[in-house]
Amino acid sequence: METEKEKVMTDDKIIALFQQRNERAIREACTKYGRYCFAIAENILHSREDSEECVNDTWFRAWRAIPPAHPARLKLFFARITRNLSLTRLKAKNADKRGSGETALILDELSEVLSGPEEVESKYLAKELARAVNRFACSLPERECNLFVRRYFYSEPIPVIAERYGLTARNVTVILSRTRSRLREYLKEEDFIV
Amino acid sequence: MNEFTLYESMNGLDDRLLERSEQKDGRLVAVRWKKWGGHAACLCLLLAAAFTASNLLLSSDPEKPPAESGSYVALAGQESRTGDTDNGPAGTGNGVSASPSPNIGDNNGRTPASPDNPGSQDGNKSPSQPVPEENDGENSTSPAPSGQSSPEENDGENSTSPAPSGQDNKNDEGSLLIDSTTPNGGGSAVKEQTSNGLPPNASGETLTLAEALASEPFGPYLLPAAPSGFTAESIRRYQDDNSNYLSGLWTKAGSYDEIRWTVSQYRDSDAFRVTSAEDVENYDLSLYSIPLCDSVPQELRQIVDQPIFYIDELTQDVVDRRAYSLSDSGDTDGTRMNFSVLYGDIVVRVNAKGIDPEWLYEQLIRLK
Repeated sequence: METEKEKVMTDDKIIALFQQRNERAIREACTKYGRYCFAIAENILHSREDSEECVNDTWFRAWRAIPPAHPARLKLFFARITRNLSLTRLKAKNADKRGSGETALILDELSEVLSGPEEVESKYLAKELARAVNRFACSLPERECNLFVRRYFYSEPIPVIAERYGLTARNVTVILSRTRSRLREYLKEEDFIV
Repeated sequence: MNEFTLYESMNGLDDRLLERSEQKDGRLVAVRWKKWGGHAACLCLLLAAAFTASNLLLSSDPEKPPAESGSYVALAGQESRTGDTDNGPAGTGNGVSASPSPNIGDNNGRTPASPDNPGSQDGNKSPSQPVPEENDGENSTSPAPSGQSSPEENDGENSTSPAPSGQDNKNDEGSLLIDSTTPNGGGSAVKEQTSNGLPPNASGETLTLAEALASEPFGPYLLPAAPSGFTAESIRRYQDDNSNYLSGLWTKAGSYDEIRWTVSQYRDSDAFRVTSAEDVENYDLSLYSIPLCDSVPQELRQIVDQPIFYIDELTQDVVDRRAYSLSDSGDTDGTRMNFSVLYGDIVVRVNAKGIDPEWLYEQLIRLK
């Protein structure tokens, strides 16, 4: 008897289906990563409907990207697409708001990093900023980096992160606060903030 | 640049960082391991301390030698009906038990038992010396797990003191696989004893075969006569709050052959060992290799170890499937059989070695 695990297709096979333009690729991707992507979208949008739409859009975005793309890590490939789509949707939906729930808190937290009027958004492309943030994250100790990623990439609530790493919520909050301070210093050094 | 741009820029985080964050924190695992490991260690220490303390307490009773204390049955072979053994020679040489919940058919603390074990345990017994009644192998030095036993498994022949080394503590021809447990689904507490060595509300007496056969309600189900060469070594009636049975031990001089026959009331705790003759996997020893503990599936061990058959389903074939021989150094390799038969609400347990399966089948059918 086939186990549940055996029923799940490997990433290579899913990618092969995408490359063969086989629509089964979307079903298999949805089976394997649907919940994962939904969680990412839900953490950002806090809306079941919006999140489901984002996840559906994720498969079609991947459909267009593969080929020529051949993601090394399919899961993270989907995660980035979902996250991008969710942020885009959030931006469009709440053009004049800051979102709600966890996202509003995250944006508030990140605003600390950028406090001051002398932001130089035009000076660098967003891509450069992303690279700088990645360099910063890579420089962090593992635990701090993990907390940073869970909070600002996966948009997870602090209690969830605390549970994941066996810390108290208070401890996570303090660590993240110190990490943001360091990020601010780092971005200043890199001239993203003057 | 605003906070939203910064939030979006997190998409540039390296795959390696994202993957690493998916993993459980090793520190957390270590903390949890330490936490639960510490608890488990404390629990083990407490149990060990409690067990040791109870043994020391009981064996240090100045009033009674260790072998005597708790022997609440009379000397084997005696026909007295006193039931009071506390100062008599019956106490000496008894295989006694420190087990708070003694039982028949256990492995004397060796788990799991296999057919290998009984033979080796017999090595302690001299064929030329009659085995004291208290010692018919129904004692355990280990605490018995609860909830696995049947009344027939407990002769009440156990004491609360440890068995002296070198004394006959042969036990358990019967148990093939597992520690039998307390007969009444528990009874883990150390038995209190009265001045005559018996637990409160307990009565035990040695009977003649004729008296035993005439006694109700178990007498009619006792083995009326053993094959030639076997002599009745002890016939006992025991009853306390937890146990109620009639047992007999027949041995054959010059060999280790013996027949143990225990009659008791059926209890609910026996239900899981009752098997239909159709379910051969529950009792057919030819299906399993020795040691059985390695070949019998875990879920079948208890029933394979000591199945109970309905008398109406008992056939010669069933008995034959329970027969096995084992060549063991220092022991004779006679046919061994070990099972129980249910007659209405009466259970007859047989642990035999060196008898013919056909003869045994006939005896069991006659009791019907």
